[in-house]
Amino acid sequence: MKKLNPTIYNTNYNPTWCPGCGNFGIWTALKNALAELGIEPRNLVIVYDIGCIGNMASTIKCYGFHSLHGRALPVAVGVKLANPKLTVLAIAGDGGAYGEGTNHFIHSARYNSDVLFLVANNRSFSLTTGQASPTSDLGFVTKTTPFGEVKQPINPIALSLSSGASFVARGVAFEPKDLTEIIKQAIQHKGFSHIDILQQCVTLNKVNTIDWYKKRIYKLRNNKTNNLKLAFDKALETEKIPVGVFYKKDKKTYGENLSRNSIESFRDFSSEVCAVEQKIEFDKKSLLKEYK
Amino acid sequence: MNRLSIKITGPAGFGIKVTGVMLAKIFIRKGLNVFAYTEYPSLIRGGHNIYQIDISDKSVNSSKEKCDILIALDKKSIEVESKNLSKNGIILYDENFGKIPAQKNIQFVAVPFVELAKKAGEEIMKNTVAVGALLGILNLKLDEFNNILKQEFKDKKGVGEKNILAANLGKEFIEKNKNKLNSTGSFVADTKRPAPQDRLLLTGNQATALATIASQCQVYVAYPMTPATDILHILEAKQKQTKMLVHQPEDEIAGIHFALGASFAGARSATGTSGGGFALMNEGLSLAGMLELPIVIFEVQRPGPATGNPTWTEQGDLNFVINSGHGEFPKIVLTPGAPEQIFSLVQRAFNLADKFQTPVIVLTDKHLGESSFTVLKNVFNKIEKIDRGKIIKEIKNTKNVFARYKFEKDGVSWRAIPGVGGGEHIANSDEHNEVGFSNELSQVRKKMMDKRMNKLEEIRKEIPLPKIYGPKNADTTLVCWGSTFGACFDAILEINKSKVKSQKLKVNVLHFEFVWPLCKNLDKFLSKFKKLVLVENNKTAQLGKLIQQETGIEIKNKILKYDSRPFWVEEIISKLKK
Repeated sequence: MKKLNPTIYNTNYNPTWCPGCGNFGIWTALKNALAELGIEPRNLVIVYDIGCIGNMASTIKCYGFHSLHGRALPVAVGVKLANPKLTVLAIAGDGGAYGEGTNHFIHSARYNSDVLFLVANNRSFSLTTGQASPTSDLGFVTKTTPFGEVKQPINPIALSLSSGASFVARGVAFEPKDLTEIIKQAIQHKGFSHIDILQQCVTLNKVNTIDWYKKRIYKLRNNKTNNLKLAFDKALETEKIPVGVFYKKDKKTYGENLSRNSIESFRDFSSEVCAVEQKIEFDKKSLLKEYK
Repeated sequence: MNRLSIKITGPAGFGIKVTGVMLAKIFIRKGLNVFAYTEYPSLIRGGHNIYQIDISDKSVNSSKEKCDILIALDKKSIEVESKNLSKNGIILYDENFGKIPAQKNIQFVAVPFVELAKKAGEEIMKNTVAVGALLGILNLKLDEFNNILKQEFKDKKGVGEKNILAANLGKEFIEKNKNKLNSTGSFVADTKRPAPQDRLLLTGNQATALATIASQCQVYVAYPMTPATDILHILEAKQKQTKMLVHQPEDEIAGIHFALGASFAGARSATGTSGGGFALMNEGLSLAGMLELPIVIFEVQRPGPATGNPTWTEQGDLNFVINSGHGEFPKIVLTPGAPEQIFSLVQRAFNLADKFQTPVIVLTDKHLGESSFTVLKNVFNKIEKIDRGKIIKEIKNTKNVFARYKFEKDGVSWRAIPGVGGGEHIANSDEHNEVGFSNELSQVRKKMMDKRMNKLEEIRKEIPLPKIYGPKNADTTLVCWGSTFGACFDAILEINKSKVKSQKLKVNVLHFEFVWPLCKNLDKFLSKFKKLVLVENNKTAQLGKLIQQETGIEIKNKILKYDSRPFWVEEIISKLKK
């Protein structure tokens, strides 16, 4: 695999995020990871959700798909199944991933479809000028929670683990070097990968700031990533916030499992159907037999 | 011969449909035409299920309200169905139901279904005994039934033979007791008719599935929803043979987005559902309009609103489908009325979706989707050439930014699919400029709207006039769309054959297969007819409204039905005679 220069992904557009936004770190880490893995823009599909992070669409050269709110994952799963030769990513914020699109998140993990799901989690709806999100802490004050949030926040890592994701990690937007390494591992992993990325929102979340995070996060080191129970234990920690890879397991992907249905001689999961190149057979004689 | 109508009824779980299909195939193989209609409540056991077969040597595409022979598999069937019998109709029932009080103009024929089935081997074969008895009444040989039984049970050792014995016992019983019957239904001579081997018994949904395969659709995604689920069942079952990728998603919202992802990747993609699922797909439909991605959607209607009558029929979604999806974007809506029309229109749908890079909806309903029709085999020889439209295979100059949404006269720009170097772009749900980047300038917005909506006018150029069936210069013209075609067609066959000149009503049918966009010059075309009568399976005459909206022509005469049942052929005839 030949390393590429990250500038290969540049477009004529610059990001429109606020100065100091966590998205810059994610953007940099993503391009570096893709370049180091030598993934050419033509073979890369990124499906964006709606939200601040979704506006990354204009700033990475590849086959981009700026989808609807909450729907990035089903589109990404569709792209990957239709053409398994492509590298397919879905990028969403906490609103799209854990609110509007929760159903798709759970099921895409369950299918173990071979896509990487990056979630920029700033615990707030920001593009809509600041409302509570599914990951906002109890007591979080916003325009829609003027007296403080009373709904329990979602635990993205635990949800992902219990749904069947085969690669589960937590990254940090303001530590792009570490994030680059996690993204690289996730792209190389065959199966559904989920990275929840802790992210500051300098404009609309004055609680969960970089300093707030720095006091709480610690890096997972030498943890047994093939043990689901241990991964759960780590996911349930709340006082301190572990970051790094929680879980990694080799499992058949959805594409591999589905291919078994359409390839008669399918034995070893070594080949996958590429729907885009597939000639569909209309064997009239055999298909019409049962209607005589 | 006249039409003959046979009905098999009993509770769910009695194998009524399986028996019905076998019976229908007997007549198909004898060279007759059959239309089979099924009614079943939304449950797995109990209730009252119906399989009705209308048989004729002429074309038959609808059911009669009054059947001539009823096979009652339970006592309740007699209570429910005796009012739906034609004069001197026959009810075949099991003598173990106990004493059945005589009724005027009905001939009751008791046959020991269960006892004879047990004699042949097992009680479960009582349906087979009943069919044997029916064939006895009709003076038909058991040959084709035996063949069908052998085929049906070829994987179960000895079961075919036992069933053949059961059928024989049923037939013998009738032959021994025939003198008790006034009319033995000598209507069908057991002679071979021309080329019975060229006929098939096929539902609308089966035709849809076959057409999807013939259209080289590479990805089909659908969440189960009655009455559209058969399409998914068939495509799932045939995967090994067809190599189609078939996916059952978590919901309809995921379904349409999955299909759009596959379409973006370059695969021919489709999804299918009923009204409720289609409602969920609306945001995805609008997305397809904005991204200019081809997709085909099957909407098999059932009565709404909400859960409605899940296993029954209605044409209540026409206006909804035409106006579906938020915002203004071009879409195409096709409404076939018979399996032959489905097979050609679905292929058309895929080509139109690719050619104009926009969603195409094929709108059918439970009545068309789940009723069985006699279809000539050669219909399936007509394969339309695949046209994937403007897809770029290779880009020489990879330096320039690819203009995915380049302004073209016909509104259709070239698209590149992932994997092609130099074709990178954003399929952007935000309003965008020619290269796909988000753009909110007023002049860009207007130009893009014009570009997309121009496609509608280009599409309109390809839309043919609605088809006329029957005599050219009719006094009355039935105007219909989709599944009501069957009952209208049969009604004019019946009406126009009247031999007494003074009583002769000259009626024809005008059937709309393309409802959106409507064809050009429809107003001029419609103004030539003497008297138009709308026939719709809904409350508010939705096609009528659409025609009025688009042409200014109001069709005042309407025959509407909205009790979740399809039109019976007699209903249309009697309304016309008034």
